[in-house]
Amino acid sequence: MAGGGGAPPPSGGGGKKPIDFDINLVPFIDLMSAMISFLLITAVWTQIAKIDVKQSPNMPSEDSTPPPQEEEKLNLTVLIKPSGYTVTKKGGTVIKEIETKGEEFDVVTLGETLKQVRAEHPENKDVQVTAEDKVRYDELIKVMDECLKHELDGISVAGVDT
Amino acid sequence: MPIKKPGKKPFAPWLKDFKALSKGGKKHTKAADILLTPLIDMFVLLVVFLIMNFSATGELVTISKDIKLPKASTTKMLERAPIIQISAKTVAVEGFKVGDSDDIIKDEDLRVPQLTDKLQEMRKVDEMMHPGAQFKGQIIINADKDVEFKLVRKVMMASAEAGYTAINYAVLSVGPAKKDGEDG
Repeated sequence: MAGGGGAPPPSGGGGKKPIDFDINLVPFIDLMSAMISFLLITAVWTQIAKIDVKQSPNMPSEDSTPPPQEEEKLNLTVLIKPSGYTVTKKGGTVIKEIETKGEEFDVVTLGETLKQVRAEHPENKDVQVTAEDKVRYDELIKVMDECLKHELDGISVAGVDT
Repeated sequence: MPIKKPGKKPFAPWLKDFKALSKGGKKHTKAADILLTPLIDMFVLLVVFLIMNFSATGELVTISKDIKLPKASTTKMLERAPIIQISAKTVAVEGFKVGDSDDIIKDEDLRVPQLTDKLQEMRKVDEMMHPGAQFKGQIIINADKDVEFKLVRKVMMASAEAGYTAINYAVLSVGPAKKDGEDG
């Protein structure tokens, strides 16, 4: 054989295997099919989460010592009535009365009011959500969600004694 | 130059070795390859999507037919705790009925003794099972969105009386739920 430093010819000599080859895709597709089946069976399509609240002041408690009353607290309260929302603060001062729009509660205006209160009192993160007996549970959750959106995460829930 | 008789000229004589194009090659080969690339693309996309949705915790709260949960966007992830189911018809604790919703609403007394008793019993079992551990008092209220607040309030009152003071409302999350203690 003639010696030389040149590259070997692309074809010719026996024993040389072709360079291009196919990856065997069958096991890969098997794995994919098994994974898809498993994930589809175990998939959870509805995600249930929680909204947690602090203990309400007028609920029975095991802790016999009452919480210290702070004069500086804003005591922000959102009262939900069938006719709309009433946002009040310390001493029962009404910040805003938001009436329902037809059948619907005006959550947008409530959001704006809470945003304004947050801007005025950035240190306050507590809010008490109070509802009348006839109010739907859904409305309570909507108000709590709106409070949480504006970082008022110290929510307590109470009822109105009628 | 001799004159040739017109006739059929052979098409691409250099391909005459290929069976399909050669003169006698009327029979086509039966082996055909399926194009696998789009199939694998689709599989990969599906797997990625399903893995993103995958939840290792599973479902803590089962959705029953007569309870439609309210929706909320700013939520936290649920943790294991006793569940009180409130539907328009019944009130149940962990699947055991404790009363009819109508009867509880009509009763003027704010207390619900049968619910309190059941919860106290569960608390005793919990304390027996975990001796030495501090009782957390966590409870999940799984209520239908159309029930009156009065009913929820009475259930909350009964829970607080039994020592379950950390009340969590189960909601359908319309956004990503945060872990407990996570800010932002």
